[in-house]
Amino acid sequence: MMRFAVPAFAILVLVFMISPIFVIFPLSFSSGSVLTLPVPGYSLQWYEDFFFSERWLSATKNSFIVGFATMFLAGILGTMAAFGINYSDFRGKKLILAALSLPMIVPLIVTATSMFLAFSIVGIANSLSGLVIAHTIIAAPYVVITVLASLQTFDMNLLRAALSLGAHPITAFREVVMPMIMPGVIAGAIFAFATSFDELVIAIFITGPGQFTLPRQMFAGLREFLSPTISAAAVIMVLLSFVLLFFTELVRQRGERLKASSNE
Amino acid sequence: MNQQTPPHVVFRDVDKSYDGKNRVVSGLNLEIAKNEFLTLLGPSGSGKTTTLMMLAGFEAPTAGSITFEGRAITDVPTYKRDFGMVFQNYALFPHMTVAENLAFPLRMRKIGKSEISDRVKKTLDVVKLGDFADRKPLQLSGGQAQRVALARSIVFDPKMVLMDEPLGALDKQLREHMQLEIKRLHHELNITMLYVTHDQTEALTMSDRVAVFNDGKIQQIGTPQEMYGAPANKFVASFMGENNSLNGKVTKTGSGNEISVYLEDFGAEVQVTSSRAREVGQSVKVMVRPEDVHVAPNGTQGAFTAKITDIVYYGDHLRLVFGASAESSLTIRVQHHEISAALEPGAEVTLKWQPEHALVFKAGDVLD
Repeated sequence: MMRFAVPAFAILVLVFMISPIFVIFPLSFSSGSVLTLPVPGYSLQWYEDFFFSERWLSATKNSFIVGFATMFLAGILGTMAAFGINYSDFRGKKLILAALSLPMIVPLIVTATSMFLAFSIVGIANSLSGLVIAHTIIAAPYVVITVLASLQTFDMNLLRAALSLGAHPITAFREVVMPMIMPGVIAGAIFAFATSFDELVIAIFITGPGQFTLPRQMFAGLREFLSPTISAAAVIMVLLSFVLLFFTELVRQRGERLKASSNE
Repeated sequence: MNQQTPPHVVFRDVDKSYDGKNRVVSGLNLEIAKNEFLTLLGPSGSGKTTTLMMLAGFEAPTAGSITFEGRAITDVPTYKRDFGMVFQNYALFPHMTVAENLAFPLRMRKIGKSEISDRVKKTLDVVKLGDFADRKPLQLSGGQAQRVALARSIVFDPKMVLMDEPLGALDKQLREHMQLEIKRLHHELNITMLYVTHDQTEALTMSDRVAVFNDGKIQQIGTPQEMYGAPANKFVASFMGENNSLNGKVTKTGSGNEISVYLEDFGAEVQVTSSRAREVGQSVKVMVRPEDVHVAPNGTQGAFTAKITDIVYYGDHLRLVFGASAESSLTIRVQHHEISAALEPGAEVTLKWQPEHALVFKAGDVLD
């Protein structure tokens, strides 16, 4: 009895968690013009609407620009912070680590409000660069955490060996440390991209219509025109998430292999 | 080693503390001669590895100075010191092949491609791993990996080679083989080597000189023969090789070094050597090595009798154990032909040693 009950229950939980996401799929192919189930028929009109609308394309473009910029900035800053924290031993190290992960814990709405006020003062509210900075702040902690995790298994003697062999610390970092912690860096960077890509609250606060990102545009669509185009946009975002998940898994597997070799 | 050569490396009054209170290394004075093989030997936490790390440039001394060829190197970063280094866990770069690992220090020195491949090949031949150039470190056995690490530490003609317990991860047979290999390399390359280990056999078999560390201080430094034959204190005596430690009381002193001591656990008076003045009645520890105690015929002068508590078979030799408690027991090493095969625990045996082989230290004080 238990032999079947446990797997059955597990499958039920899985269905419970995932199925809401899939509701959006039939909706996006609906031939009707309202967001209701069941769909009257199937068509690609909402995808057409998405790909031929200036508004949606510009939002997609903005999302990618902000996403990649955030990934890049948060990737660099987070990696450097993680390495510094891991490498050196100083008083207040725990405090700094806690401060770094603060943006993950503080309610997003609070962060968004403060950023809006702060950015208004320096004049970068209502700009893509402002959004990039804001997203970098909330995404960098993810990079710090994933890179710290991969540094846990990094053998510091490798760095010492490189230095003893005549490598300048920067060269040693680039040639020996980076290849070994790359899985963590990439995983963190993907997290950073994903964080930025689906971020709405801050986007509401610090973007004007000219800087709308995909989530912001969907939010606007939901409130203003309730067009099924947002379901097409949603499906596109879900598929992109799958791609990201696939990459993260690929990187993780590669990491496992390298880890196995460095522990040998 | 050679007194005529000026010291290569000099540690002068070096202190190292991580927290400002406990000194891991304190008041270290050490000179390393050019081309010598010096081993730092000691238990973990004795300061030997920290000393090596300071010389490598991974740690800075809290006080004192370190000079190399007459120049202070305390402010010279590791990558400019030109010291080869070998680690216990090999520290080969896992994402590079064996050849790339060896090429790394040469690339850092901006050496031309063709010369790099020549030198890599030559050095791999020196450690007899010529066929392994394209392997990844993961595909090597422990012994091979450590030979690659060794090759990588010498391929760029370093000014000296530092080794931090390089054989610690290998099994016994491989260790012994690698000891000979390292010794051969030292001989062929004519290079200064500083070797850190907690294994006294390694220290004895490989070194020109050994420095025994304990509590952040050098207890004694000298040739393996000096360290083994004339330990300066009880710590060195018990750390370098096996040693029996017997409780005794001084009964008679003379004009020379030879004194008489009454062994409390065996009820016998024996002749021993003391490097320091002793007073009659003083409590002492008599230290004598298992191979220096012999079974003698009954009635031999200066001998004493003891009851065997255990006989342990070691293949090439036997060990006889005397005395009631483990703490005050006496173990001796005998060849099979020295005793009769019928000997059993409980039997009484006459034991004898040369007075110069039994050393006396003050009871209690480790550093006496």
